[in-house]
Amino acid sequence: MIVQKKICLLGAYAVGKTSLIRRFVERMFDERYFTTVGVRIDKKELSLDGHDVTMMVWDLAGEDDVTRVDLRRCKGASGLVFVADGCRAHTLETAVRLAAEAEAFAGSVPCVLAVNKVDLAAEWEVEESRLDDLAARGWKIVRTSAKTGHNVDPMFETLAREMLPGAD
Amino acid sequence: MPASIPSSGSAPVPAGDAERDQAWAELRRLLVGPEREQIGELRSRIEDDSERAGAVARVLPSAVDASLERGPELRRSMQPMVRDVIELTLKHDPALVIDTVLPFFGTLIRRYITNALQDFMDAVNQAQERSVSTRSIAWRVEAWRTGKPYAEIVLAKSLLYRIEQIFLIHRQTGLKLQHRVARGVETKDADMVSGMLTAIEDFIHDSFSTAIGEKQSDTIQVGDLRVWVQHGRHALLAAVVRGAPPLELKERLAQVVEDVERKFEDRLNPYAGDPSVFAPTAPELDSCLLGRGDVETGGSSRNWKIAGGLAASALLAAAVLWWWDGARWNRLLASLRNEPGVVLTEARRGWYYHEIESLRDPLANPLEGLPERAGFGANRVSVRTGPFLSLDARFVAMRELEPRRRALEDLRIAFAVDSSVVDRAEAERAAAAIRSFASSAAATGQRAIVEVLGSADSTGTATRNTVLAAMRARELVKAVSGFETAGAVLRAGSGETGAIRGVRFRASLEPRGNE
Repeated sequence: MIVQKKICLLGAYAVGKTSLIRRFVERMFDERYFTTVGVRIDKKELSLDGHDVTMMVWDLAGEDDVTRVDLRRCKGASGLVFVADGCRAHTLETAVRLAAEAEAFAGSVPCVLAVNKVDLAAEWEVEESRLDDLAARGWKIVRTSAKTGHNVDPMFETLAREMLPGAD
Repeated sequence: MPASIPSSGSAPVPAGDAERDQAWAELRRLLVGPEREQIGELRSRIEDDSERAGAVARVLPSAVDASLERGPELRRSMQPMVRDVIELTLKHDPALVIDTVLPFFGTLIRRYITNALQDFMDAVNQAQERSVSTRSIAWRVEAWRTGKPYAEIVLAKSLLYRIEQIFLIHRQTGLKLQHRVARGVETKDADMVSGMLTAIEDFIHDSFSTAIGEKQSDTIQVGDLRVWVQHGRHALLAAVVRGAPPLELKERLAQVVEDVERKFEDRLNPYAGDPSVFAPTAPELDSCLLGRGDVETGGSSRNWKIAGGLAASALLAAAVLWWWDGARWNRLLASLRNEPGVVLTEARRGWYYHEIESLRDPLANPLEGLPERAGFGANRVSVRTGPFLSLDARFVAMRELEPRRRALEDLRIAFAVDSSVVDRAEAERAAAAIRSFASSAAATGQRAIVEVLGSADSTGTATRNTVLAAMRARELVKAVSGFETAGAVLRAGSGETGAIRGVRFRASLEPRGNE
């Protein structure tokens, strides 16, 4: 049986949402930055624990000083990925705030917080204490790198497992 | 309890025994004080209107809910009251009602007018495109013949369309539930198209602040294609259409959405993510893959069909033409074979040009114009002829006729001086020449006319000579008549003088049957 699921990626601008999806779906990474306008939809078929899962991945345009994330696009999502840039601490707070706001549209669905760009250790800005604090409050945090592919597949697969029928 | 203990304060107490009264009061307070306070509180609740209203208000919502769950009695009993309230409000404060309802009505009216105008414009555009054409004349004739309005005929005939794809999409998630494709149509990933269609729809409605209502239909125009999106409560149906479909199709889509939602409501809301449960919708969606006319699709299959059709038509036309040309060719050959004095030696039939080799007697009818008379265009048949003498009796006779005419006209029958007596031997000689000419004439289907011209020499008087010449002609005719002349007609001509002393002949021909 094939199970279809919609997931959404949210976060501040240029945190690497599109790059994470591209790494996950196409196994590619591009150094150039392309801003996402509106929404972009990709598809990834997975085989997990005996289930065939078709993930429709909605890449929502990032939030900046003038544009808010259109959280209405999260309606009907079975899972949410909040993405922050480890080299810009304020993007973590944006992700946390978006998580609180998105619940009104998506309901209480499985979530994961991807702290991206872990390959740029020298420029790392997010404090471990803050991540520990969030983890203590129940956040599932995954340190990822779209550039190297580090933890990208596990992050999506963890979310997918939580969305499958029979998951807690 | 002792029987002497008085009730709460109303029994008579012996006067002057204040100490005992005080003790009794203290005892009552100790024994029934709390109950008395509760009774007082209950009494105030029952008797105090505001207190009672507060208590009812606290239980009223849950009481209404419970009643509604039990049955429709409360609705029925409240209906007259609600109606009176609305009526009163409309009478006393219409502005409040208008302010409340106007935004909804405004949106509804705007939406219906927009849809109606769009439909009307579509219809007008289609009709306009085809208003001046040869087809429109035929449609006018049909309208006149059938008694239907012209506009109805135009709309019925002018709609060339094809529904190429149908998507059944879960409205909230944008996930594809079912996707059906017309034969020969190439498609992209239907899952992603479904998601993007939903996103685009939402984006457009959000951008222009128009709510997506149930049963609403939208149209997205993309180049030559248009996408009709029909919304239901939980699903939407998107039809990818090429060409100009009739507007009734929108109703069909609305009907299909309604049917699907009715049959699958429990699986649409909520949607568990298993699209296979919507497999049974395939026949109903396939019934929407309609089309009519030769709308341009760009699809290779359609082009092949057109090419095949054209080739078959061309082959059929060629076969008919070849057969028709063959029949004409056979007629030409038959006429040549039946032509006297003509021998057909070779006939070559090409795809377009034909050649004929023949032999022709010089006396035969000319062959120029024969192919044209058989129906061939100029220069399509080349006819070459070689010299040839026919042994056909007619041509033999024709060839003999001229020498025999000359022999007859060169013949002179001599008479004695001043005599019109015909020598028998001379008469027989004349008869032989006439017979020879007449028999040839008969063989060619003609009658010989022989004029006998008498003459006299210059001796004697002119009068005598004239009489003598005429007499000699008459006598010769008479003498020759006694011999066989093969049906020649003999006439005695006028006399001649100053010529020979005898008669000569002038021969001519006339068709048989003319006397």
